[in-house]
Amino acid sequence: MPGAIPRTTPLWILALIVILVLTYADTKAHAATITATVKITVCGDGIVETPEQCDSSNLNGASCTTRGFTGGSISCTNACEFNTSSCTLSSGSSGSSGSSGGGGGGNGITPVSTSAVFSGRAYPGSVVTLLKDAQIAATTIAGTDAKFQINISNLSGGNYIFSVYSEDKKGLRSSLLTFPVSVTSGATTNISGIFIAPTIATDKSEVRRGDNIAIFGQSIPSSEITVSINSEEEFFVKRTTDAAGAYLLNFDTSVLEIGQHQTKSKSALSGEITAFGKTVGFVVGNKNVLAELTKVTATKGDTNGDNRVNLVDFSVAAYWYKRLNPPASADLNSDGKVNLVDFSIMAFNWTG
Amino acid sequence: MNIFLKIIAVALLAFPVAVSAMTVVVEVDTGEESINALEATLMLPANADIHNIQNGNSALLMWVTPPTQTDNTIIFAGITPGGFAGVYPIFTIDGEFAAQDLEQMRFDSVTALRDDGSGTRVPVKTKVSLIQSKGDTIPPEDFTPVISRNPSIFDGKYFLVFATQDKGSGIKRYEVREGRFNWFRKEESPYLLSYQRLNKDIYVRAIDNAGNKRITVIEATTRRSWWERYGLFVILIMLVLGLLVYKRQWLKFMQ
Repeated sequence: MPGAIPRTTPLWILALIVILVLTYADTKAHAATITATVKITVCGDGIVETPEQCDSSNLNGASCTTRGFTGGSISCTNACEFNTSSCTLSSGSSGSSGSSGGGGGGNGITPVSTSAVFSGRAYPGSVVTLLKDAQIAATTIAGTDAKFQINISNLSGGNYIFSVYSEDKKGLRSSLLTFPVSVTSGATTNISGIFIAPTIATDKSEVRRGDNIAIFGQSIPSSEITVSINSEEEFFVKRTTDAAGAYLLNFDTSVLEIGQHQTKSKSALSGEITAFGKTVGFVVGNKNVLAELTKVTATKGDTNGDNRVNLVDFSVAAYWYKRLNPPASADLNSDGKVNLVDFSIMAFNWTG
Repeated sequence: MNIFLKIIAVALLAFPVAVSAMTVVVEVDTGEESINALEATLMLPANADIHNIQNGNSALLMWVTPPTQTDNTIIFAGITPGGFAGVYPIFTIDGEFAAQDLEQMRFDSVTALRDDGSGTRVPVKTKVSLIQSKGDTIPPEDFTPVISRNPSIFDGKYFLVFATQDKGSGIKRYEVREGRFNWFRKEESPYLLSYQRLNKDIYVRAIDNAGNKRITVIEATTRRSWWERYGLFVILIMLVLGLLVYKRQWLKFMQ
């Protein structure tokens, strides 16, 4: 089969990681299923799919002339973008012969390393952290438009669990957005369309019934925020974020019963929508108690007080696993023992 | 006819059941629930001959109890920060199995906890099936051990934590060596450091089930005294000088 291009099995993977959020509305009694989607593509498998321009030797029908040049040879970079450096723009003089001679050498496709590219939106200027199998793999700063991109390389072919979270300007962390990805050896896997849920906090830990409670956080600029206040009756209120991505809801608590309540929020922009983010609790009672932001940002499972939950904290909890009289820092549900439930709470609050 | 069946039955009893080398994968199906913790016991057939248990491509990232065989059971417990939903492998078992052994494997006391911040128990399905065994020539992934101390463990002394992944065959064990001239010993995280002055380089070796190795070195954080750094060199110089003096004296004596 001379000249035949070895065709690998079709490895374009379009994976939909579905995060289901069931929303119960009481009296209005409607339930909504929200689907947050990330798109996973593989650069290096010879199949072209958006946002790739080309893939390995597959130029998707493109040539120098279709790209506006007059001659030369076009190739594909390891990032699956056209390389037109060997294309020529001649006005009919001697230039074209030289470039065609060099075309033979440009045919070889440099083998790509096993890598992954993550792109999506967090909050303007926020720190975005990428976890690879629960350990920090990279961090980056999102742009003023909240967009971010992270490249990691030196991966092996196999199943990875990647997670992304972000921290807003007030130090509030988002929930972990997790997506298992099967990484193809020798190819670049693109994970795009990541949309991190908004941060959320309240100005009071307890609010006198009838007074307002401020519910605030950050997301993408000009996005629509849906805030859920969950009690016996669930209330949904919409707000739009400002240019910095901030939102604020002053909620009148006269409609809430005395007792414990919870609030959470999600964000939507241009047809894309996040899952609901972290849940924050507050009490409706007879007095106002201001919430301390330091307490809000403190993380359950942080056994050594470094404001992170990671391998060190896991190791401390593992030391106390099924031992008598564990410390309160390891016994997260205060039941007098460290068991799988404590590890589950730690996993939920994981920061890497 | 009856006699014929009896002969077959006797023949089946007289000859051992054919067993062959197989790899069995243990999987969990969470449905639409996102879980972040799983604990279970797998009951094996009485005659199961297990060679190796591998957790290379597991959905569980941090092992509270790595899959461990005790008699005819394998117990395991682990967590996945952020959780996962769907059908994912937990570990694989290499061994000699008969065809019917697969049907005799059953799960006991399965606990799966929802990724909701309070560890709510949810039902999941578990299953075992045959897969093709693959070779592994890639060492475990690069990792960074961390030195820490915490008043709640090891009396507040310094300890070392470490963990890495191996996508091929999975991590078999870790070995730790403190100091350049010492031995590697099999250890687990958290590991209480022998040299609390942190004046020794620490070597952590991760070995996968195929024997591939990855070594990470943490340099000593405190300056070593001059005799620790140059002691061996000084002794060697003194030995050489001593030999030279001895040789000179010997030559003098011979003349």
